[in-house]
Amino acid sequence: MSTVLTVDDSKVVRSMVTRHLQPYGCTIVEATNGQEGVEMARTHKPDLVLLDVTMPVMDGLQALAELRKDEATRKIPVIMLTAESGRDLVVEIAKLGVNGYIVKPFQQDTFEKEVTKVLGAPGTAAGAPQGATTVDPRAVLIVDDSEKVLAMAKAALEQSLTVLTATSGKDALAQYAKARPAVVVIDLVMPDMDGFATLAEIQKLGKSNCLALAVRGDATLHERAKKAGYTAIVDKPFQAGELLEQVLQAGSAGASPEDVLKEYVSEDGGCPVFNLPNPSSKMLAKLLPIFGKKLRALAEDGNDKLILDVAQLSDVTSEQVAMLVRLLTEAGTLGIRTAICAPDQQIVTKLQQIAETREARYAATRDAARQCLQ
Amino acid sequence: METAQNHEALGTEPICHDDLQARVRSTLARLSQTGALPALPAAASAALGMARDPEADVDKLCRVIQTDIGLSARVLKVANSAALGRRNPARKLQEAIITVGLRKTCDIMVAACAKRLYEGASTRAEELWNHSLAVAVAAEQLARTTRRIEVGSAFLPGLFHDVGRVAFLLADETAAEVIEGLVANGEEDKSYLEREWYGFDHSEAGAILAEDWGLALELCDAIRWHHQPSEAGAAQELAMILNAADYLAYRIGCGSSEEPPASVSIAHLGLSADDEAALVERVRVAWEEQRDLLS
Repeated sequence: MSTVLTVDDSKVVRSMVTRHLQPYGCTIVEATNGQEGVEMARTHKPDLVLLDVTMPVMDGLQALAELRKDEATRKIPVIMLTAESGRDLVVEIAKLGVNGYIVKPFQQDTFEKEVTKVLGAPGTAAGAPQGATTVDPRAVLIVDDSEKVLAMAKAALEQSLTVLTATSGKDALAQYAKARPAVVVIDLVMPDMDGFATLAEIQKLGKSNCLALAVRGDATLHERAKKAGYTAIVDKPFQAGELLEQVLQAGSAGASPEDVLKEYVSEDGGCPVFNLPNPSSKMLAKLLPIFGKKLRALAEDGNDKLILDVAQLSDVTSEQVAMLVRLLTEAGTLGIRTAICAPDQQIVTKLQQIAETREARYAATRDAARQCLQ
Repeated sequence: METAQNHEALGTEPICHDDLQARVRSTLARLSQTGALPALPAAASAALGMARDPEADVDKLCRVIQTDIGLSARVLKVANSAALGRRNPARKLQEAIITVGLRKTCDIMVAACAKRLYEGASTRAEELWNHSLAVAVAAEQLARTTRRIEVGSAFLPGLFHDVGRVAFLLADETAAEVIEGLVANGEEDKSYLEREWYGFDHSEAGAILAEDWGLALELCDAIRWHHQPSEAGAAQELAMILNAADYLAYRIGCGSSEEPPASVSIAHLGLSADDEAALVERVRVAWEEQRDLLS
């Protein structure tokens, strides 16, 4: 049986949540403020937290940050509850990794639509979930009846992600329930259960981003796929790099800043490292403020060294240069010395042709970069 | 209702009238099945317009009433009722309107149309309608007895004082049930819980709907503050009348809840216990008559 924690200072809201959760047959625990909610989440390990935004003692945003900070609670799905006037704020929060938001006052159908994405439909096996209950941000599921396509996709993605494969819609649903991958790539044309039927069933089970695999140039099919709820279309035949980029982009859409930091910020021999990703400019736009915030945190903690690792870059684009320049400038302003770790000499040559990056310290390995900064 | 005390209790920021009006409309529309706000039939809107129009005359009103066969029959029925004591029954609509009076005919038309709206409020429809009609009749009787407000301006705000509750029931019966349950368990009062859930209470919702339907602004303010007449500004006298009418409705067995509303306004209106007892009886008789005429 699932457990749901409802955190709201209003008795009437908690009562409405309890009423609307009745069809799910779950255990309900209640907290009246954010602090109490965080403590109860640690104790009860709920399958879902319904979290109000405006509360005394600790508000919903602080509580969300606390839940995401703690290893024991960071993966618990959270749906934010907001008043009509707070809708814009919550749409912003939603982008930062909550599983959904519900505007108060709400009715059963609106409530059920969001909650079912996490708990599964009321009265189904998913209502008492088996297998994974939280989304795995590092996993991708590829669904295609062609073994050849599956092998190509696996080869393109497995260095960066955990890749699961399914040869039919039915197989995909079983795999999805077990692993809850953040991204699902589905071939639109398959025997028995096609890409549209598969998408509809997956949407009932969870809230992963789904990409459609479709033949390049079929505008009607592309249009239909977008209307059905696919996040984007991956054209067939695809290039390995293109597929990786689209999957990473789709995966990062729902990732929290903490997830992003974990993926792109590390430490090497006591020196902080920012790993600059290869993918699209959209991804860079999302990363830049997170890197900026981390930079300021590093300076506040007394760090004066940083390695900018560009090993993943396959080429130098204007967006990537702009990002590098911003980071180098901001680090300089904060008194942090930087070294660029670039194993590929061609990348170094290109960067040295640009005025703003000409004078930077370059090293072929992280060890060498650390030594530069001694 | 938007008072500083309410905001402090709920931890919210005060909100200006226009924003609140927009919030009430958007919330009720979002919750409704159709995406539209509760509406009155066109004849009622026209009658409300006539009630405010100094140029309105019998012929104009006849033209509006004739668009609705049910309404024509209703006005004739009222004109020929025992209460109005005509020697010969009115056969033409014009005669009926002259007997009943222009303003009162408008009230009857609105009440007949409003009843259809209340009927949508499912299980609570009858109780709410009886209560609203009782408050309308009681407000009229109070206006006549106390002479503190014009008699003709009391009926419609009385009829619509709880129309916000109808809107809440039409929007989501489950929420209304949950709130009723909490009130029954002694958890805060109904208006407080409504504000927690909807962001506004039934008085505010009722005032804004009445405003949309064309009721004069002062009458809408009286609806808005019928539980707190002292906040009503220029509409304070009418708000006190509505508050006292709410109490009288309870006294004749048509209260809106099991608990009697505060009776402070009765004393504030300068009425003695004997006056009150006599009023209760007049309200009972008038309510039964109106209920039968509108059934």
